[in-house]
Amino acid sequence: MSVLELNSVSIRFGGLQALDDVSLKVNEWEIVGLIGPNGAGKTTLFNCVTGFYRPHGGRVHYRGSDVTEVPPHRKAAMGFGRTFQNVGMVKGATVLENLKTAQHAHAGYDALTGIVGTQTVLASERELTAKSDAILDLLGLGAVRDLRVGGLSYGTLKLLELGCALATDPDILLLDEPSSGMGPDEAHELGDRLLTLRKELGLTMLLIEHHVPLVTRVCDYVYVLNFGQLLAEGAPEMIRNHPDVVAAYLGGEAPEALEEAVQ
Amino acid sequence: MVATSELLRPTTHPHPEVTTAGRVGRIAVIVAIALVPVAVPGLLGGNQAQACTLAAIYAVIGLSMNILVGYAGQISLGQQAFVGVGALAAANLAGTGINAADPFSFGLAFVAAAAIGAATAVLLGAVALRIKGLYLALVTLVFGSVAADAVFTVEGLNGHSAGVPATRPTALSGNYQFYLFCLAIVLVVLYVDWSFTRTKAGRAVNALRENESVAQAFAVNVMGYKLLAFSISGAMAGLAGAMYAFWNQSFSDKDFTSTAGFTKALIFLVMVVVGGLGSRTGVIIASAFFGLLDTLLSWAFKTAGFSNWYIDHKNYVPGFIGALLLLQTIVMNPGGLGQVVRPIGRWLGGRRFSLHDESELADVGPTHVRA
Repeated sequence: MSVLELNSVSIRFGGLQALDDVSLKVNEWEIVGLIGPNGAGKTTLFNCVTGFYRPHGGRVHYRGSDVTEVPPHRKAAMGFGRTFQNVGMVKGATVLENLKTAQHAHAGYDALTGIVGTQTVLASERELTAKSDAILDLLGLGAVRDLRVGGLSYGTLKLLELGCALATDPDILLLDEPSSGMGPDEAHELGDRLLTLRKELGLTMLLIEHHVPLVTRVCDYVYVLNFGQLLAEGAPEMIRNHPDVVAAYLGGEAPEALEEAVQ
Repeated sequence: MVATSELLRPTTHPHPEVTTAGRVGRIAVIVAIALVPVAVPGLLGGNQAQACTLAAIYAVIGLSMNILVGYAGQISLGQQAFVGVGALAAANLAGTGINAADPFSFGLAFVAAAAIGAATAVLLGAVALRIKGLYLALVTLVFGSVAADAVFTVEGLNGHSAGVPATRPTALSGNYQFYLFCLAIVLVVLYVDWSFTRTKAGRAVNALRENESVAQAFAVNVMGYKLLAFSISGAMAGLAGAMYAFWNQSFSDKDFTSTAGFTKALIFLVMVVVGGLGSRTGVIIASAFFGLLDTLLSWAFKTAGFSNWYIDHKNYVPGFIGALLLLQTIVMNPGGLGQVVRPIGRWLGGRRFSLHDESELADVGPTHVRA
């Protein structure tokens, strides 16, 4: 059974058909890439999957059950961990506070008990801190634990954001351009990390990514979106040489131009 | 693994061991700070203790505003309505007439005031859930004045416009005794505020104030936690209302309707901004100041020999001072008093005295100030 399945999902914003009849599938343990030019609808698709947008047509299935109408906070509690294109963290809080906030659904007590402040609450709080520290160790970011998020560099933030997504205890991770703001070396390291995470935590992933070497290295399968429609799908190597994909990225004349250049 | 992380942790400012002298000094300062609100009103005596009680009541109102505006980022200009319904409920339930309230109905009045304050706030919150910023401010403003004028002018509830008596129980009939009782309530509210901020509810509300999408991605039910913030804030405001009714020994609708009500709504908002949004210490100091302002001004003008002028302009002077302080805060000190007292708080917490916060890598602006 697939972890995530989209059946002809469509969404329109006014006159713009942002997603048109998009179907895709992510299987257990797979890392699936979602690529396409700017404005193709990749982030919109993420928002439909995670419940931030409600598609006008089509269904979203998670492990066999229809979750199209489930609101985002419940999706997060169900196991949808996501990151945002321009860093989704609480900037005024410290790194540790962010990681503890991300564990909201698994805090082990309810909000009112928290306000009373019983022994259980204190014990749970210690556990949350311990788990946050474990995640920081995993990412090698223990040094920034007590710093405020607002002042950190973009590359560090993208990594921390991944840490926050992990802290939500996800079953499927949806990463929106995880390598943006990173140099080639860091991006390579990120690839290693993603592969390790899948191996150690048994995660399934869907990632939006522009960095082609990273996509080819980590993804098992790739979907290409263009103007809200699926343009192509297949193994990464195949996608790389697909004439439509090359055309979408470089402009309509590209394949001919390439051929001319070769001649 | 643990060892590596210890190595990576910033040890640039290792917290020095506090020396015995340092510890004694800190404890002495803490005891002194704690003694001032307990002892000073007692030494000043009856009427001044009564003025100080108003400061305690304003502190509770300030903390209730801080939960809503400071933590949850929901601007409220209707807080005086929550305080008012609390006062109304307390006075009517205690049903004292001219006799002293018995301890049971006195206690019940406080519980009921908190409950009805929370219920009113949730009602407003449910209406206001989908609107933000200026529009939310407008809705709360309209709600506050309409609800106040509609409910508080009901003849059966406001003692036919003559006020509902709320006589204190015999044990608290003395002004200083009642002051101590109110101080105890401030401590309870302070505890709720403190445990709110250090547990999941506080973190959730903090996240949704900054970015609702991120909060949702962290599994926070944004609407639910906004309503929770409204209800806790309303409960605190209702409690303050009960304190106010017994402080005045009467509920008078004129304190909460039309101009008086609107002026209160503005002052309540000004005091959290001047105190520093999100900073409980700053908010308590600023609220207590505004609670004492009338007494201080009366005294100052009387000493200067202008007491008649002050009596004529009583309604405008505190508001004018509030406006000046608000401008000063916004232009020169956006973190409010909380930012000013924060170094002292850090020092009392056992760290070296420094104006610079170690968790602050760079200046991120006053998104959150906590002292």
